[in-house]
Amino acid sequence: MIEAVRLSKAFNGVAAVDGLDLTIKPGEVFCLLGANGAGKTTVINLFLSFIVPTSGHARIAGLDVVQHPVETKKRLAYIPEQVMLYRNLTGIENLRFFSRLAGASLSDPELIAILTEAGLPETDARRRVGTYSKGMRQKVGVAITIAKKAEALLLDEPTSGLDPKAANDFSVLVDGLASRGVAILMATHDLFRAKESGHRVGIMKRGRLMQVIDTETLSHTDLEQVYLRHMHD
Amino acid sequence: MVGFLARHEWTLLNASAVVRLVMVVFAIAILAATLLGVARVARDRQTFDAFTARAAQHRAGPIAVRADVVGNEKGWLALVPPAPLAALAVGQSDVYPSYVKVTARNLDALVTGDQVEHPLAVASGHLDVAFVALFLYPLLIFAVSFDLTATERDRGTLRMVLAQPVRLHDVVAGKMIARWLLLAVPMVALPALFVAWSIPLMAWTLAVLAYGLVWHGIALIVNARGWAAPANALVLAGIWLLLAIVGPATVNLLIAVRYPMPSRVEAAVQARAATADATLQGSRQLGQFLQDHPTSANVGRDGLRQFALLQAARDSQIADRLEWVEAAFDAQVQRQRRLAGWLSLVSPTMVAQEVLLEASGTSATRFEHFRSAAGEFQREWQNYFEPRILDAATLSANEIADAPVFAYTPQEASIVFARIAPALTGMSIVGAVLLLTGFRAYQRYAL
Repeated sequence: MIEAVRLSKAFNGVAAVDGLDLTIKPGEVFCLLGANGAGKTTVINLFLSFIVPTSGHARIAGLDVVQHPVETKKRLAYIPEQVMLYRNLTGIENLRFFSRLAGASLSDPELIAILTEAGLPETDARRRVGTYSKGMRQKVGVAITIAKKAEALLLDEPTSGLDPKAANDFSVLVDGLASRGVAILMATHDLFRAKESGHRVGIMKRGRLMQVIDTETLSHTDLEQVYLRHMHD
Repeated sequence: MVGFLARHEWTLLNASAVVRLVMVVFAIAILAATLLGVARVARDRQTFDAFTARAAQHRAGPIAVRADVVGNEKGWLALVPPAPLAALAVGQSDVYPSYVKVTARNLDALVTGDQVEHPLAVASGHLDVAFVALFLYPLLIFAVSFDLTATERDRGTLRMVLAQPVRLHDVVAGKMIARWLLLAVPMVALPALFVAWSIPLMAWTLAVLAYGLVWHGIALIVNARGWAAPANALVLAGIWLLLAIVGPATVNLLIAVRYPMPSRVEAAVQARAATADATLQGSRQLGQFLQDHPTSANVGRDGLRQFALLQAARDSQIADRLEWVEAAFDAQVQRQRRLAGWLSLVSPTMVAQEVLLEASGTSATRFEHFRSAAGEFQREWQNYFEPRILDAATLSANEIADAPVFAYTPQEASIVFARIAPALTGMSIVGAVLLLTGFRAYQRYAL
């Protein structure tokens, strides 16, 4: 479970996140929509304990990320817009390294099976990551999530720059992770993808969560209208 | 976890073609310096053995030789053997002579101790392991450490890593350990393959490691500032230039300005002038003596004694004049050394150099110890031969065999170790403090 309780972060007195209250249950995909600078990435950085909240709490599986940074990261996976891996290592070697960091010692066949499950065939998995496309690196990111058996997943603009097919493939993988019971927080600009993948969508503006919408209740067009109305206010 | 991260970093470093190339060049430099040193010491050892054998032959020479021939003309060549770790550092061995001629009159003056070098060696200096350790080693530490985390941070890899249950401190520690092993192991292990294990080698190894820690600490602090990799590289190159090159050069300049050294040429001119004056004066007296005794037949034993007395007076006069020249030279060197002792604290390279030369046995102190021992031996030699020379005696084989013999007894390793211990401890503490400061600074590292 991903949980924010009155979570705030200010930089030089300017609020980047302002009193965020949010609970994402296991198996749920929550999409944070917002313009650049709305505070989406700051929220993710707070959950990753890359920055310390000014006030409030960020919790993963009930554990405060500030008080238990190592324990929460064991339960947490993160896929940024650009999954940057070690270019001189192969996909398998990268997955071995990251899963080992997460405490999972896996054999080569297990690593290959996970990469294949994430959509990366063995022939590609044995190539150096320096030769990978962005979509292939995203798949390694998903493989890391699977390998460490993460309970929560943070996605930061994961489909930005992907072609429609690759973006769709990625969404399928995200849906698969959600069906395994992973709580997913996805920051995105992509309204279409948010509607398709998300169970709920939150619209952020100047650090505040302006509105939370159940995606079942709105069409793509309605969601766009609501989003634009908030942006123009 | 740190061990795992260090192994991972080791893999990454070895996967880099640039790092592999750097390591090959580094290993070649260390091996070349070591083998050159081994060859140099073998040559010095050969010289030492040859002169020692020659001295033994002289003692077993013809019987019934005049005392002044044995005591003054032949004299005794006091030799210092190559130090146990001389192969690792030339040090002061190309400045101080490894031999000194002892006669009943005096030790040879400082100006006669030059050792012949071929022109290329004179022009280019010596490549030794100390040079590699003092200059190349820190440069390579910076070369492999200027980008500890900057590029990984800028590319986003560091965020991926830190999204796992691992602390930044552990990641940085793993990187530091891998780099330390990458350079420190060849730096201490390769030369050790060619010299025997000894306490001086242990001191040398500790000094190299402590010196390396200082440079690793500096690199860590610069990286913790959070600048981009090119900025780190530029700053570290500047620091290396300042501490390893400009700092020592400035210190040398300050010392030379504060205590200008009379040149060796000037000392030689003064010594020759003193010798010439005394010789002239003595020659007048001897000339008078020869006028009074126109043929050797009418000299007699008493005449020879009188002649020896006149020669001794002349020699004593020359020795007094030379002693004054040498004393002035030595006093200035001591003043310079005291000042250098303080000023060298501004540069880790200078501190480490002192320690490495002391450990290797090629520092000025070992040659001074040798000269002091030779001085004591000269007094023994003088005490033995002077009465016989003044008595115009002819020595028997037994008397020649009973004459004092010089054999250099090196200083106790514990004394040498005690001398370098403060600098060694100081470097270790500074290195540790720099590393701790770097790790503390990394707490504020912005992703």
